[in-house]
Amino acid sequence: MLATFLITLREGLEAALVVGLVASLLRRRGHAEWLPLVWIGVASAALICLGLGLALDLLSVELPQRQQELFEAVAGLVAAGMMTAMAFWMRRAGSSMKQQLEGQVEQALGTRSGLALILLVFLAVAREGLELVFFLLALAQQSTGWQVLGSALSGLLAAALVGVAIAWGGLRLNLARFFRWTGVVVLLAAAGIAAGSLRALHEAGWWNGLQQLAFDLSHILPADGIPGAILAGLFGYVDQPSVGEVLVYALFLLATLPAFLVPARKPAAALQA
Amino acid sequence: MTPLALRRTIRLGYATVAVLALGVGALGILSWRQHQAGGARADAGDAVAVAITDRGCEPDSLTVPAGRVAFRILNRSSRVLEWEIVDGVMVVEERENIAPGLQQRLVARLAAGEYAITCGLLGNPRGRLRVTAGAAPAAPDLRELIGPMAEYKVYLTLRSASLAAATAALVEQMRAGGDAGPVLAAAHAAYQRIRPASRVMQAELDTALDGRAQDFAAGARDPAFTGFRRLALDAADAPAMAARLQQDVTTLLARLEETMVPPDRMLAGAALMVREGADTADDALAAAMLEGAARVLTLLAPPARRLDAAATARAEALLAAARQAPASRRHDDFVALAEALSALRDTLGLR
Repeated sequence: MLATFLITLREGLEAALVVGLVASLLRRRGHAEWLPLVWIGVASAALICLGLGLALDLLSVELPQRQQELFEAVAGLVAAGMMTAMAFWMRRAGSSMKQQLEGQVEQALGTRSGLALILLVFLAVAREGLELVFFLLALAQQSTGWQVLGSALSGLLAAALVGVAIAWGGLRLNLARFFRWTGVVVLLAAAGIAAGSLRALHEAGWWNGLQQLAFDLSHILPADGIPGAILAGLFGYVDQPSVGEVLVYALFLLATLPAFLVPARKPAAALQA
Repeated sequence: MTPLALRRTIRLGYATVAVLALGVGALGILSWRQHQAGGARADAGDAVAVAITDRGCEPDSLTVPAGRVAFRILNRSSRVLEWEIVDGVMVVEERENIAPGLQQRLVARLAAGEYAITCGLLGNPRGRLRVTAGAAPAAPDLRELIGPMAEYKVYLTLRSASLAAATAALVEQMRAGGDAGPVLAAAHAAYQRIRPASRVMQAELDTALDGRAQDFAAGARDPAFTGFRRLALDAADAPAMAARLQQDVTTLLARLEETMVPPDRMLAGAALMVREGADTADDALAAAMLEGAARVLTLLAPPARRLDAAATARAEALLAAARQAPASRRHDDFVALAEALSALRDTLGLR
């Protein structure tokens, strides 16, 4: 029961984080009229996943594992790249807002970056969606009562609530801080997605190097416990990662975080205050 | 984006979502009805069951035949787990997110060999999965079939040139008059060598070129009866018939040149030709048919042997027997060979 709740929570959190951040970002830039496009991106990704899952189920076709893993890997790499670009774009926008004149930077959000954000939302939902649909379908077929399915759906609901909380919290933050901290969060999440893409590539049979176990935290912080599941959902935490995954995670953060945290023209002290 | 364009985009987006929702709703209803009917998991009974406990797999050693194997993985441990079939460090198949107390199904196509299965926690000993070469074929590695396809293409090109030359000689002979028998037989035999391809890829032209009188409504007098066999039966109007035949051959060769014959069609065409040729009285013609079929078999035997050595050897033995047998035994030998060739389509997992 708790396990199914945590699985759907974990799978849903990543998407919720991205959707929540994008939604609050659009609102802060005074682009609330773009929000329907976000919901359209979320809904169409969810519906496509659900439709695909149902169609495969109907045809009694098993999920082609390699293709699914490959899709997850490619979508993950694209999403990680877009999230990095988004973080740096936010940093630039944030530092140019000394007077916090929101209207001044409005043009920074051009049509193209706006559409890119929608695509990011679509990818984030579609990436986790397919696996979730199969999990839910299997649950629906195997469980006799509604309890297991109910706990799975409440896991999803909890993930959605976290997304709402992120969007809401983002709205309450001071604008400069918002850009600063959400940028760090976005980079951490992107590092997790990039490392996860390496795992997906391995499971798709495309990458077999560096598969030794790096460390085993499954007794201290198991990924299917509550804190572990939340960390896994938000930042791609894995309790038994391979050396390759740890390397990707570390190298990704080494390459992006210092560049992101170096103050751009604006004194960092003011931001950290 | 102007407000107007944005509004239009949003309206379009809502329409897309509505269409998707309708489609998914319909799929959902279909799926639900199918599950009500109980048909969806009819084959759940023959799945190989593996239970994962906190300490390992039960049983920890499995033996299954090669080919499509269904596994039912039951999670009896206290943790969510992922189950994998591993070949060295390569993951062959896997199922994620199996919650405690639940079971999930996994269907894998496995080639013969030794595999390992994961059993929950990484510290747990891995289980053994032995896949034996059985009657059930594994999926062919498509890369293995590209080589034979390409080689067959080369063979077709070479044999097409011989057929074109033989046909030209035939037309020449018909025009000049005199005994056309030997040239006609040579051209007919040349056609048999590529007939596995034309029989299935260009069926209409094949009928025009090599149709048998008994297959037409009015028999030998039917106006649609043309080709090699018509020329052999009836000398009337022979030059025009030969010209028509040459035209058909030219069209056929041009079309075949643009075609890549898939392995399944190669086998199906060879089997059809051999079966239809079971009552051939002419030894040279029968030998040419076997030559055409032999080319297909030689090319596809190596990948087929890896999947089912016995079925491949049987087809090869029947071919050798048919080549040596006297005309009196031809019917039975040809029918048996046709069946063996057809069976290889299943061996290769092609139908």
